[in-house]
Amino acid sequence: MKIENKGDKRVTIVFEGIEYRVPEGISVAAAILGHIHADYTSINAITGEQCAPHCLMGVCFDCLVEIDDLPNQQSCMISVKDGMRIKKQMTLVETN
Amino acid sequence: MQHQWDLIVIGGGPSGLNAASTAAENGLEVMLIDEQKTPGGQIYRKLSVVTAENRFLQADDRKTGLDIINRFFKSGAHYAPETIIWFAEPGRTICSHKGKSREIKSQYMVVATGAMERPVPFAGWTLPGVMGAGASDILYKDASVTPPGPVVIAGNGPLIPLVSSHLLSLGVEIAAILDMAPFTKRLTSLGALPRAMKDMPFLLKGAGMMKKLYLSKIPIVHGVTQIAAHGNQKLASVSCITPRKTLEFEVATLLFHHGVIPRTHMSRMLRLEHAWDSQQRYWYPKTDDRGMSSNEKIYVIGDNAFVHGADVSALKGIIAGIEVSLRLNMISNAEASNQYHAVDKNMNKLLAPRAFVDNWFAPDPKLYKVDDDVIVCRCERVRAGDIRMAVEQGCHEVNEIKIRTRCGMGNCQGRMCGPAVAEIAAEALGTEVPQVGSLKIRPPVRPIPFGQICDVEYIH
Repeated sequence: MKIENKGDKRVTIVFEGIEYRVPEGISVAAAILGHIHADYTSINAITGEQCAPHCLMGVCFDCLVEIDDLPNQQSCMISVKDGMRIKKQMTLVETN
Repeated sequence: MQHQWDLIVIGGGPSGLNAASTAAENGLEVMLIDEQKTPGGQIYRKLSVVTAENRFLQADDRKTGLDIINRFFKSGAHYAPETIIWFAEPGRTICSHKGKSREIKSQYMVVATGAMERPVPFAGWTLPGVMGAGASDILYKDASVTPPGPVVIAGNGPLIPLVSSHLLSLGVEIAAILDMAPFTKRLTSLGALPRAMKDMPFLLKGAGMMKKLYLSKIPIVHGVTQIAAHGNQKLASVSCITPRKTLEFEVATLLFHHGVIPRTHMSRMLRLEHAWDSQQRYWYPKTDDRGMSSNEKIYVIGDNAFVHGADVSALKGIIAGIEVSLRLNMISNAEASNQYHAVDKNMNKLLAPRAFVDNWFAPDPKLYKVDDDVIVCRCERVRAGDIRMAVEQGCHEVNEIKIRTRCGMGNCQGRMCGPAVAEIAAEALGTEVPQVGSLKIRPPVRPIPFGQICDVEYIH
Protein backbone atom coordinates (compact mmCIF):
# COMPACT_ATOMS: atom_id res chain seq x y z
CA MET A 1 0.00 0.00 0.00
CA LYS A 2 1.19 3.48 -0.78
CA ILE A 3 1.39 5.89 2.10
CA GLU A 4 1.42 9.64 1.74
CA ASN A 5 1.25 12.64 4.08
CA LYS A 6 4.59 11.65 5.61
CA GLY A 7 4.53 14.72 7.86
CA ASP A 8 1.53 13.50 9.88
CA LYS A 9 1.76 13.34 13.66
CA ARG A 10 2.24 9.73 14.73
CA VAL A 11 1.02 7.61 17.63
CA THR A 12 2.26 4.25 18.90
CA ILE A 13 -0.07 1.27 18.80
CA VAL A 14 0.60 -2.34 19.69
CA PHE A 15 -0.66 -4.95 17.22
CA GLU A 16 -0.22 -8.60 18.18
CA GLY A 17 2.44 -7.59 20.69
CA ILE A 18 4.52 -5.52 18.26
CA GLU A 19 4.73 -1.71 18.40
CA TYR A 20 3.98 0.37 15.31
CA ARG A 21 4.12 4.13 14.71
CA VAL A 22 1.09 5.14 12.64
CA PRO A 23 -0.47 8.51 11.68
CA GLU A 24 -2.76 9.97 14.32
CA GLY A 25 -6.50 9.89 13.65
CA ILE A 26 -6.67 7.12 11.03
CA SER A 27 -8.90 4.10 11.57
CA VAL A 28 -7.52 0.93 13.12
CA ALA A 29 -8.45 -0.91 9.88
CA ALA A 30 -6.46 1.57 7.77
CA ALA A 31 -3.49 1.17 10.12
CA ILE A 32 -3.65 -2.61 9.77
CA LEU A 33 -4.03 -2.55 5.97
CA GLY A 34 -1.76 0.35 5.10
CA HIS A 35 0.95 0.36 7.79
CA ILE A 36 1.05 -3.01 9.53
CA HIS A 37 0.28 -4.99 6.36
CA ALA A 38 -1.33 -7.89 8.21
CA ASP A 39 -2.98 -10.44 5.93
CA TYR A 40 -6.11 -10.62 8.06
CA THR A 41 -7.81 -9.15 11.13
CA SER A 42 -9.95 -12.01 12.41
CA ILE A 43 -11.13 -15.51 11.71
CA ASN A 44 -14.68 -16.39 10.83
CA ALA A 45 -16.32 -17.62 14.04
CA ILE A 46 -17.93 -20.61 12.29
CA THR A 47 -15.25 -21.92 9.91
CA GLY A 48 -12.03 -20.35 11.17
CA GLU A 49 -11.29 -18.89 7.71
CA GLN A 50 -9.33 -15.65 7.66
CA CYS A 51 -11.23 -12.36 7.30
CA ALA A 52 -10.05 -8.83 6.51
CA PRO A 53 -11.70 -5.40 6.24
CA HIS A 54 -14.17 -5.46 3.33
CA CYS A 55 -16.54 -2.45 3.41
CA LEU A 56 -14.55 0.06 5.55
CA MET A 57 -17.79 1.77 6.60
CA GLY A 58 -19.15 -0.31 9.44
CA VAL A 59 -21.60 -2.63 7.68
CA CYS A 60 -19.78 -5.92 7.01
CA PHE A 61 -18.25 -6.74 10.44
CA ASP A 62 -15.39 -8.62 8.77
CA CYS A 63 -12.77 -6.35 10.38
CA LEU A 64 -13.52 -7.23 14.01
CA VAL A 65 -10.55 -7.06 16.40
CA GLU A 66 -9.93 -7.00 20.13
CA ILE A 67 -8.98 -3.54 21.36
CA ASP A 68 -7.64 -3.15 24.88
CA ASP A 69 -9.08 -6.58 25.74
CA LEU A 70 -12.59 -5.72 24.47
CA PRO A 71 -13.66 -8.13 21.68
CA ASN A 72 -15.95 -7.44 18.66
CA GLN A 73 -14.57 -3.97 17.93
CA GLN A 74 -15.13 -2.74 14.37
CA SER A 75 -11.64 -1.67 13.37
CA CYS A 76 -12.91 0.49 10.50
CA MET A 77 -15.03 2.60 12.88
CA ILE A 78 -12.44 3.25 15.59
CA SER A 79 -9.48 5.63 15.37
CA VAL A 80 -6.02 4.70 16.58
CA LYS A 81 -4.96 6.12 19.94
CA ASP A 82 -1.57 6.27 21.56
CA GLY A 83 -0.93 3.09 23.53
CA MET A 84 -3.87 1.19 22.03
CA ARG A 85 -3.41 -2.59 22.18
CA ILE A 86 -4.96 -4.44 19.24
CA LYS A 87 -5.23 -8.17 18.69
CA LYS A 88 -6.69 -10.24 15.89
CA GLN A 89 -10.03 -11.71 16.90
CA MET A 90 -9.44 -15.47 16.87
CA THR A 91 -12.64 -16.71 18.53
CA LEU A 92 -14.44 -19.78 17.24
CA VAL A 93 -18.06 -20.28 18.23
CA GLU A 94 -19.00 -23.74 19.42
CA THR A 95 -21.55 -25.25 17.07
CA ASN A 96 -23.29 -28.61 17.19
CA MET B 1 -28.97 18.11 30.68
CA GLN B 2 -31.44 18.48 27.82
CA HIS B 3 -34.46 16.25 28.51
CA GLN B 4 -36.16 16.38 25.17
CA TRP B 5 -34.76 17.78 21.97
CA ASP B 6 -36.97 19.31 19.31
CA LEU B 7 -35.20 17.19 16.73
CA ILE B 8 -32.63 14.46 16.58
CA VAL B 9 -30.88 13.85 13.30
CA ILE B 10 -29.35 10.42 12.74
CA GLY B 11 -26.39 10.60 10.40
CA GLY B 12 -23.82 13.29 9.58
CA GLY B 13 -23.63 13.18 5.79
CA PRO B 14 -24.72 16.08 3.55
CA SER B 15 -28.45 15.53 4.15
CA GLY B 16 -28.26 15.07 7.92
CA LEU B 17 -25.96 18.08 8.32
CA ASN B 18 -28.22 20.32 6.26
CA ALA B 19 -31.35 19.18 8.11
CA ALA B 20 -29.68 19.93 11.45
CA SER B 21 -28.30 23.31 10.31
CA THR B 22 -31.60 24.45 8.81
CA ALA B 23 -33.62 23.45 11.87
CA ALA B 24 -31.09 24.95 14.32
CA GLU B 25 -30.91 28.22 12.38
CA ASN B 26 -34.70 28.37 12.61
CA GLY B 27 -34.42 28.17 16.40
CA LEU B 28 -34.95 24.46 17.10
CA GLU B 29 -32.94 22.56 19.69
CA VAL B 30 -31.23 19.96 17.52
CA MET B 31 -28.99 16.99 18.31
CA LEU B 32 -27.11 15.31 15.47
CA ILE B 33 -25.80 11.81 16.17
CA ASP B 34 -23.12 10.34 13.92
CA GLU B 35 -20.91 7.23 13.91
CA GLN B 36 -17.90 9.03 12.50
CA LYS B 37 -15.36 11.21 14.26
CA THR B 38 -15.84 14.13 11.87
CA PRO B 39 -18.90 15.31 9.93
CA GLY B 40 -19.35 14.71 6.21
CA GLY B 41 -20.64 11.18 5.76
CA GLN B 42 -18.87 8.91 3.28
CA ILE B 43 -18.71 11.47 0.47
CA TYR B 44 -17.12 14.28 2.53
CA ARG B 45 -15.31 11.98 4.96
CA LYS B 46 -12.64 13.84 6.96
CA LEU B 47 -13.00 16.88 4.71
CA SER B 48 -12.91 19.22 7.72
CA VAL B 49 -9.62 17.76 8.98
CA VAL B 50 -6.76 19.96 7.86
CA THR B 51 -4.28 17.17 7.12
CA ALA B 52 -6.70 15.28 4.88
CA GLU B 53 -5.77 15.85 1.28
CA ASN B 54 -9.01 14.63 -0.22
CA ARG B 55 -7.60 15.05 -3.67
CA PHE B 56 -10.38 12.85 -4.98
CA LEU B 57 -12.80 15.70 -4.88
CA GLN B 58 -12.64 18.44 -7.44
CA ALA B 59 -12.23 21.94 -6.03
CA ASP B 60 -15.92 22.82 -6.44
CA ASP B 61 -17.03 19.58 -4.73
CA ARG B 62 -14.63 20.24 -1.87
CA LYS B 63 -16.08 23.71 -1.47
CA THR B 64 -19.66 22.36 -1.48
CA GLY B 65 -18.74 19.87 1.24
CA LEU B 66 -16.84 22.37 3.37
CA ASP B 67 -19.69 24.90 3.11
CA ILE B 68 -22.15 22.28 4.41
CA ILE B 69 -19.82 21.29 7.27
CA ASN B 70 -18.95 24.86 8.29
CA ARG B 71 -22.59 25.89 8.19
CA PHE B 72 -23.36 23.00 10.54
CA PHE B 73 -20.63 24.01 13.01
CA LYS B 74 -22.02 27.58 13.10
CA SER B 75 -25.69 26.58 13.24
CA GLY B 76 -25.92 25.93 16.97
CA ALA B 77 -26.96 22.30 16.47
CA HIS B 78 -25.50 19.95 19.10
CA TYR B 79 -23.21 17.26 17.77
CA ALA B 80 -22.53 13.76 19.09
CA PRO B 81 -19.75 12.21 16.97
CA GLU B 82 -18.42 8.64 17.35
CA THR B 83 -21.83 7.68 18.70
CA ILE B 84 -23.57 4.49 17.68
CA ILE B 85 -27.32 4.07 17.93
CA TRP B 86 -28.25 0.52 18.88
CA PHE B 87 -31.90 1.08 19.80
CA ALA B 88 -34.49 3.39 18.27
CA GLU B 89 -38.23 3.79 18.44
CA PRO B 90 -40.25 6.87 17.46
CA GLY B 91 -39.07 9.78 19.64
CA ARG B 92 -36.41 7.80 21.50
CA THR B 93 -32.99 6.33 20.85
CA ILE B 94 -30.33 4.68 22.95
CA CYS B 95 -26.81 5.24 21.77
CA SER B 96 -23.33 4.29 22.80
CA HIS B 97 -20.30 6.59 23.01
CA LYS B 98 -16.92 5.54 24.40
CA GLY B 99 -18.30 2.49 26.19
CA LYS B 100 -21.27 4.28 27.81
CA SER B 101 -24.90 4.16 26.65
CA ARG B 102 -27.51 6.86 27.13
CA GLU B 103 -31.06 7.60 26.12
CA ILE B 104 -31.88 10.57 23.88
CA LYS B 105 -35.46 11.77 23.32
CA SER B 106 -36.93 14.16 20.81
CA GLN B 107 -40.22 15.37 19.35
CA TYR B 108 -39.14 14.79 15.77
CA MET B 109 -36.59 12.52 14.16
CA VAL B 110 -34.70 12.79 10.90
CA VAL B 111 -33.16 9.57 9.64
CA ALA B 112 -30.19 10.23 7.34
CA THR B 113 -28.19 7.02 7.46
CA GLY B 114 -27.03 7.18 3.85
CA ALA B 115 -26.25 4.39 1.44
CA MET B 116 -23.99 1.37 1.27
CA GLU B 117 -22.56 -0.64 -1.58
CA ARG B 118 -24.94 -3.32 -2.81
CA PRO B 119 -23.65 -6.62 -1.45
CA VAL B 120 -23.72 -9.21 -4.26
CA PRO B 121 -22.32 -12.66 -3.44
CA PHE B 122 -19.91 -14.48 -5.75
CA ALA B 123 -17.38 -17.27 -5.42
CA GLY B 124 -14.52 -16.19 -3.17
CA TRP B 125 -15.96 -12.82 -2.07
CA THR B 126 -15.07 -13.53 1.57
CA LEU B 127 -11.31 -13.77 0.86
CA PRO B 128 -9.04 -11.11 2.37
CA GLY B 129 -8.14 -8.82 -0.55
CA VAL B 130 -11.70 -8.56 -1.88
CA MET B 131 -13.23 -5.20 -1.00
CA GLY B 132 -15.97 -2.89 -2.13
CA ALA B 133 -14.88 -0.24 -4.62
CA GLY B 134 -16.19 2.41 -2.24
CA ALA B 135 -14.02 0.92 0.50
CA SER B 136 -10.96 1.88 -1.52
CA ASP B 137 -12.05 5.53 -1.62
CA ILE B 138 -12.82 5.48 2.10
CA LEU B 139 -9.32 4.16 2.87
CA TYR B 140 -7.76 6.99 0.96
CA LYS B 141 -9.99 9.69 2.42
CA ASP B 142 -9.45 8.33 5.93
CA ALA B 143 -5.77 7.54 5.87
CA SER B 144 -4.18 8.23 2.45
CA VAL B 145 -3.90 4.46 2.06
CA THR B 146 -4.43 2.76 -1.29
CA PRO B 147 -5.07 -0.95 -1.82
CA PRO B 148 -2.12 -3.07 -2.93
CA GLY B 149 -1.82 -3.62 -6.69
CA PRO B 150 -2.33 -5.16 -9.08
CA VAL B 151 -6.00 -4.33 -8.68
CA VAL B 152 -8.98 -5.59 -10.66
CA ILE B 153 -12.11 -3.44 -10.51
CA ALA B 154 -15.27 -5.30 -11.43
CA GLY B 155 -19.03 -4.79 -11.55
CA ASN B 156 -21.50 -2.24 -12.82
CA GLY B 157 -22.14 1.03 -11.07
CA PRO B 158 -21.19 4.68 -10.74
CA LEU B 159 -18.18 4.00 -8.51
CA ILE B 160 -16.43 1.88 -11.17
CA PRO B 161 -15.28 4.82 -13.32
CA LEU B 162 -14.87 7.04 -10.24
CA VAL B 163 -12.67 4.72 -8.18
CA SER B 164 -10.75 3.53 -11.27
CA SER B 165 -9.81 7.09 -12.16
CA HIS B 166 -8.82 7.81 -8.56
CA LEU B 167 -6.51 4.80 -8.39
CA LEU B 168 -5.12 5.68 -11.80
CA SER B 169 -4.16 9.17 -10.61
CA LEU B 170 -2.64 7.73 -7.44
CA GLY B 171 -0.39 5.43 -9.47
CA VAL B 172 -1.91 2.14 -8.34
CA GLU B 173 -1.41 -0.69 -10.83
CA ILE B 174 -4.77 -1.65 -12.34
CA ALA B 175 -4.74 -5.05 -14.09
CA ALA B 176 -8.20 -4.66 -15.63
CA ILE B 177 -11.62 -3.08 -15.36
CA LEU B 178 -14.33 -5.71 -15.78
CA ASP B 179 -17.65 -4.19 -16.87
CA MET B 180 -20.52 -6.47 -15.85
CA ALA B 181 -23.33 -4.29 -17.23
CA PRO B 182 -25.76 -5.93 -19.66
CA PHE B 183 -25.38 -4.23 -23.05
CA THR B 184 -29.16 -3.72 -23.30
CA LYS B 185 -29.10 -1.24 -20.39
CA ARG B 186 -26.70 0.98 -22.29
CA LEU B 187 -29.10 1.06 -25.26
CA THR B 188 -32.31 1.60 -23.31
CA SER B 189 -30.71 4.44 -21.34
CA LEU B 190 -30.38 6.61 -24.42
CA GLY B 191 -34.06 7.59 -24.30
CA ALA B 192 -33.45 9.35 -21.00
CA LEU B 193 -30.42 11.23 -22.29
CA PRO B 194 -32.14 14.41 -23.56
CA ARG B 195 -33.58 15.17 -20.11
CA ALA B 196 -30.26 14.34 -18.48
CA MET B 197 -28.65 17.06 -20.65
CA LYS B 198 -30.26 19.67 -18.40
CA ASP B 199 -27.31 18.98 -16.13
CA MET B 200 -24.42 19.01 -18.60
CA PRO B 201 -21.63 19.51 -16.00
CA PHE B 202 -22.71 16.25 -14.38
CA LEU B 203 -22.66 14.32 -17.67
CA LEU B 204 -19.34 15.84 -18.71
CA LYS B 205 -17.78 14.82 -15.40
CA GLY B 206 -18.74 11.19 -16.08
CA ALA B 207 -17.62 11.36 -19.72
CA GLY B 208 -14.31 12.90 -18.63
CA MET B 209 -13.63 9.99 -16.29
CA MET B 210 -14.42 7.45 -19.02
CA LYS B 211 -12.14 9.26 -21.48
CA LYS B 212 -9.28 9.27 -18.97
CA LEU B 213 -9.69 5.52 -18.44
CA TYR B 214 -9.80 4.68 -22.13
CA LEU B 215 -6.71 6.81 -22.80
CA SER B 216 -4.86 5.09 -19.95
CA LYS B 217 -4.73 1.80 -21.93
CA ILE B 218 -5.94 -0.17 -18.91
CA PRO B 219 -7.74 -3.24 -20.30
CA ILE B 220 -11.48 -2.57 -20.08
CA VAL B 221 -13.47 -5.74 -20.70
CA HIS B 222 -17.21 -5.54 -21.40
CA GLY B 223 -19.90 -8.19 -21.12
CA VAL B 224 -18.23 -9.92 -18.17
CA THR B 225 -20.10 -12.57 -16.16
CA GLN B 226 -19.36 -15.24 -13.55
CA ILE B 227 -16.65 -13.43 -11.68
CA ALA B 228 -14.79 -15.50 -9.08
CA ALA B 229 -12.00 -14.78 -6.60
CA HIS B 230 -9.45 -17.50 -5.92
CA GLY B 231 -6.76 -18.04 -3.32
CA ASN B 232 -5.83 -20.00 -0.25
CA GLN B 233 -6.87 -17.81 2.75
CA LYS B 234 -5.91 -14.74 0.69
CA LEU B 235 -6.82 -13.41 -2.75
CA ALA B 236 -4.43 -14.58 -5.48
CA SER B 237 -6.39 -14.34 -8.72
CA VAL B 238 -9.68 -13.32 -10.29
CA SER B 239 -11.40 -15.18 -13.11
CA CYS B 240 -14.38 -14.29 -15.25
CA ILE B 241 -16.15 -15.20 -18.46
CA THR B 242 -16.67 -12.96 -21.48
CA PRO B 243 -18.78 -13.82 -24.53
CA ARG B 244 -15.61 -15.07 -26.22
CA LYS B 245 -13.33 -16.56 -23.57
CA THR B 246 -12.39 -17.15 -19.96
CA LEU B 247 -10.02 -14.61 -18.44
CA GLU B 248 -7.82 -14.85 -15.37
CA PHE B 249 -5.81 -12.12 -13.64
CA GLU B 250 -3.23 -12.46 -10.87
CA VAL B 251 -4.09 -9.73 -8.38
CA ALA B 252 -3.55 -8.49 -4.85
CA THR B 253 -6.89 -6.68 -4.64
CA LEU B 254 -10.33 -7.11 -6.18
CA LEU B 255 -12.63 -4.10 -5.88
CA PHE B 256 -16.22 -5.09 -6.50
CA HIS B 257 -19.12 -2.71 -7.08
CA HIS B 258 -22.75 -3.04 -8.07
CA GLY B 259 -24.13 0.35 -7.22
CA VAL B 260 -25.32 1.62 -3.88
CA ILE B 261 -28.49 0.91 -1.95
CA PRO B 262 -30.20 2.70 0.95
CA ARG B 263 -29.07 1.74 4.45
CA THR B 264 -32.41 0.83 5.98
CA HIS B 265 -31.58 -0.83 9.32
CA MET B 266 -32.57 2.32 11.23
CA SER B 267 -35.80 2.96 9.30
CA ARG B 268 -36.76 -0.71 9.57
CA MET B 269 -36.03 -0.79 13.31
CA LEU B 270 -38.34 2.26 13.56
CA ARG B 271 -41.04 0.14 11.83
CA LEU B 272 -41.51 2.62 8.99
CA GLU B 273 -43.25 1.44 5.83
CA HIS B 274 -40.93 0.53 2.99
CA ALA B 275 -41.48 0.05 -0.74
CA TRP B 276 -39.65 -2.04 -3.33
CA ASP B 277 -38.09 -0.47 -6.41
CA SER B 278 -38.06 -3.10 -9.14
CA GLN B 279 -35.56 -1.26 -11.36
CA GLN B 280 -32.96 -0.51 -8.69
CA ARG B 281 -33.89 -3.71 -6.83
CA TYR B 282 -33.85 -2.29 -3.33
CA TRP B 283 -36.21 -1.43 -0.48
CA TYR B 284 -36.59 2.21 0.49
CA PRO B 285 -38.65 3.92 3.21
CA LYS B 286 -41.85 5.45 1.82
CA THR B 287 -41.86 9.24 2.12
CA ASP B 288 -43.85 12.14 0.73
CA ASP B 289 -42.09 14.79 -1.36
CA ARG B 290 -41.02 16.61 1.83
CA GLY B 291 -39.42 13.51 3.37
CA MET B 292 -42.20 12.62 5.83
CA SER B 293 -42.26 8.87 6.43
CA SER B 294 -45.21 6.66 7.35
CA ASN B 295 -44.78 8.09 10.87
CA GLU B 296 -45.57 11.83 10.77
CA LYS B 297 -42.93 12.61 13.42
CA ILE B 298 -40.14 10.94 11.45
CA TYR B 299 -38.53 12.29 8.28
CA VAL B 300 -36.29 10.15 6.11
CA ILE B 301 -33.84 11.97 3.85
CA GLY B 302 -30.61 11.47 1.95
CA ASP B 303 -29.57 8.42 -0.02
CA ASN B 304 -31.23 6.10 2.49
CA ALA B 305 -34.59 7.52 1.38
CA PHE B 306 -33.72 6.78 -2.26
CA VAL B 307 -30.31 6.95 -3.89
CA HIS B 308 -30.03 10.29 -5.69
CA GLY B 309 -26.44 11.27 -4.86
CA ALA B 310 -24.84 13.80 -2.52
CA ASP B 311 -26.16 17.03 -4.04
CA VAL B 312 -29.81 15.95 -4.02
CA SER B 313 -29.29 14.55 -0.51
CA ALA B 314 -28.09 17.94 0.67
CA LEU B 315 -31.30 19.52 -0.65
CA LYS B 316 -33.48 16.82 0.91
CA GLY B 317 -31.85 17.78 4.22
CA ILE B 318 -32.77 21.44 3.86
CA ILE B 319 -36.36 20.49 2.98
CA ALA B 320 -36.77 18.30 6.08
CA GLY B 321 -35.21 21.03 8.24
CA ILE B 322 -37.70 23.60 6.94
CA GLU B 323 -40.60 21.19 7.30
CA VAL B 324 -39.89 20.30 10.95
CA SER B 325 -39.34 24.02 11.79
CA LEU B 326 -42.73 24.82 10.26
CA ARG B 327 -44.53 22.04 12.10
CA LEU B 328 -43.08 23.17 15.42
CA ASN B 329 -44.27 26.72 14.63
CA MET B 330 -40.77 28.13 14.70
CA ILE B 331 -41.24 29.73 11.27
CA SER B 332 -44.27 31.13 9.42
CA ASN B 333 -45.71 29.71 6.22
CA ALA B 334 -44.36 32.72 4.38
CA GLU B 335 -40.87 32.17 5.75
CA ALA B 336 -41.08 28.46 4.87
CA SER B 337 -42.01 29.12 1.25
CA ASN B 338 -39.24 31.68 1.13
CA GLN B 339 -36.73 29.06 2.30
CA TYR B 340 -38.17 26.44 -0.08
CA HIS B 341 -37.86 28.66 -3.12
CA ALA B 342 -34.15 28.16 -3.82
CA VAL B 343 -34.30 24.44 -3.03
CA ASP B 344 -37.07 23.49 -5.44
CA LYS B 345 -35.37 25.17 -8.36
CA ASN B 346 -32.07 23.33 -7.80
CA MET B 347 -33.81 20.04 -7.13
CA ASN B 348 -35.32 19.91 -10.64
CA LYS B 349 -31.94 20.44 -12.23
CA LEU B 350 -30.17 17.86 -10.07
CA LEU B 351 -32.84 15.22 -10.60
CA ALA B 352 -32.73 15.63 -14.40
CA PRO B 353 -29.93 13.09 -15.06
CA ARG B 354 -31.24 10.46 -12.63
CA ALA B 355 -33.44 8.50 -15.05
CA PHE B 356 -30.48 8.14 -17.40
CA VAL B 357 -27.98 7.20 -14.67
CA ASP B 358 -30.40 4.88 -12.87
CA ASN B 359 -31.13 2.89 -16.02
CA TRP B 360 -27.50 2.92 -17.21
CA PHE B 361 -26.33 1.30 -13.98
CA ALA B 362 -29.50 -0.68 -13.09
CA PRO B 363 -28.57 -4.03 -11.55
CA ASP B 364 -29.12 -7.22 -13.51
CA PRO B 365 -31.28 -9.66 -11.48
CA LYS B 366 -29.22 -12.51 -13.01
CA LEU B 367 -26.38 -11.40 -10.72
CA TYR B 368 -27.95 -13.41 -7.93
CA LYS B 369 -28.10 -16.66 -9.92
CA VAL B 370 -25.02 -17.93 -8.11
CA ASP B 371 -23.92 -21.56 -7.72
CA ASP B 372 -25.11 -23.53 -4.69
CA ASP B 373 -21.68 -23.48 -3.04
CA VAL B 374 -21.33 -19.66 -3.04
CA ILE B 375 -21.38 -18.15 0.46
CA VAL B 376 -24.28 -15.71 0.82
CA CYS B 377 -24.17 -14.96 4.56
CA ARG B 378 -20.57 -13.98 5.25
CA CYS B 379 -20.94 -14.11 9.04
CA GLU B 380 -22.64 -17.50 9.41
CA ARG B 381 -21.23 -18.95 6.17
CA VAL B 382 -24.64 -19.90 4.80
CA ARG B 383 -24.45 -20.89 1.14
CA ALA B 384 -26.89 -20.28 -1.73
CA GLY B 385 -27.67 -24.02 -1.75
CA ASP B 386 -28.69 -23.88 1.94
CA ILE B 387 -31.16 -21.11 1.13
CA ARG B 388 -32.57 -23.00 -1.86
CA MET B 389 -32.93 -26.13 0.25
CA ALA B 390 -34.78 -24.19 2.97
CA VAL B 391 -37.15 -22.89 0.29
CA GLU B 392 -37.70 -26.44 -0.95
CA GLN B 393 -38.43 -27.53 2.60
CA GLY B 394 -41.23 -24.98 2.85
CA CYS B 395 -39.67 -21.71 4.04
CA HIS B 396 -41.26 -19.16 1.69
CA GLU B 397 -40.40 -15.97 3.57
CA VAL B 398 -36.91 -14.62 4.37
CA ASN B 399 -37.42 -14.59 8.14
CA GLU B 400 -38.36 -18.28 8.02
CA ILE B 401 -35.23 -18.92 5.97
CA LYS B 402 -33.22 -16.98 8.56
CA ILE B 403 -34.51 -19.16 11.40
CA ARG B 404 -33.91 -22.33 9.39
CA THR B 405 -30.41 -21.52 8.11
CA ARG B 406 -29.02 -18.75 10.43
CA CYS B 407 -28.64 -16.58 7.29
CA GLY B 408 -28.69 -13.01 8.65
CA MET B 409 -28.16 -13.93 12.30
CA GLY B 410 -24.46 -13.04 12.45
CA ASN B 411 -22.65 -9.91 13.53
CA CYS B 412 -23.69 -7.84 10.52
CA GLN B 413 -27.36 -8.65 11.18
CA GLY B 414 -28.25 -9.20 7.57
CA ARG B 415 -26.65 -6.04 6.24
CA MET B 416 -24.49 -8.06 3.82
CA CYS B 417 -26.82 -10.97 2.98
CA GLY B 418 -30.31 -9.43 3.27
CA PRO B 419 -30.69 -8.37 -0.38
CA ALA B 420 -29.23 -11.63 -1.75
CA VAL B 421 -31.23 -14.04 0.42
CA ALA B 422 -34.44 -12.37 -0.78
CA GLU B 423 -33.36 -12.48 -4.44
CA ILE B 424 -32.29 -16.13 -4.24
CA ALA B 425 -35.47 -17.18 -2.43
CA ALA B 426 -37.68 -15.26 -4.87
CA GLU B 427 -35.92 -16.86 -7.82
CA ALA B 428 -36.28 -20.34 -6.31
CA LEU B 429 -39.99 -19.74 -5.81
CA GLY B 430 -40.47 -18.20 -9.25
CA THR B 431 -41.79 -15.01 -7.68
CA GLU B 432 -40.67 -11.43 -6.96
CA VAL B 433 -38.72 -10.11 -3.97
CA PRO B 434 -41.68 -8.33 -2.25
CA GLN B 435 -43.44 -11.72 -1.99
CA VAL B 436 -40.63 -13.16 0.17
CA GLY B 437 -40.42 -10.11 2.46
CA SER B 438 -37.37 -8.60 4.11
CA LEU B 439 -35.44 -9.40 7.27
CA LYS B 440 -36.97 -8.01 10.48
CA ILE B 441 -34.55 -5.68 12.22
CA ARG B 442 -34.56 -5.68 16.00
CA PRO B 443 -32.38 -3.92 18.57
CA PRO B 444 -29.59 -4.01 19.44
CA VAL B 445 -28.60 -3.30 15.81
CA ARG B 446 -24.93 -3.20 16.78
CA PRO B 447 -23.03 -5.72 18.89
CA ILE B 448 -22.97 -4.10 22.33
CA PRO B 449 -21.65 -5.53 25.61
CA PHE B 450 -24.37 -6.68 28.02
CA GLY B 451 -22.85 -4.40 30.64
CA GLN B 452 -23.85 -1.36 28.58
CA ILE B 453 -27.39 -2.61 28.03
CA CYS B 454 -27.80 -2.99 31.82
CA ASP B 455 -26.29 0.39 32.57
CA VAL B 456 -28.06 2.84 30.27
CA GLU B 457 -28.28 6.44 31.45
CA TYR B 458 -32.04 7.07 31.13
CA ILE B 459 -33.81 10.42 31.13
CA HIS B 460 -36.18 10.69 34.11
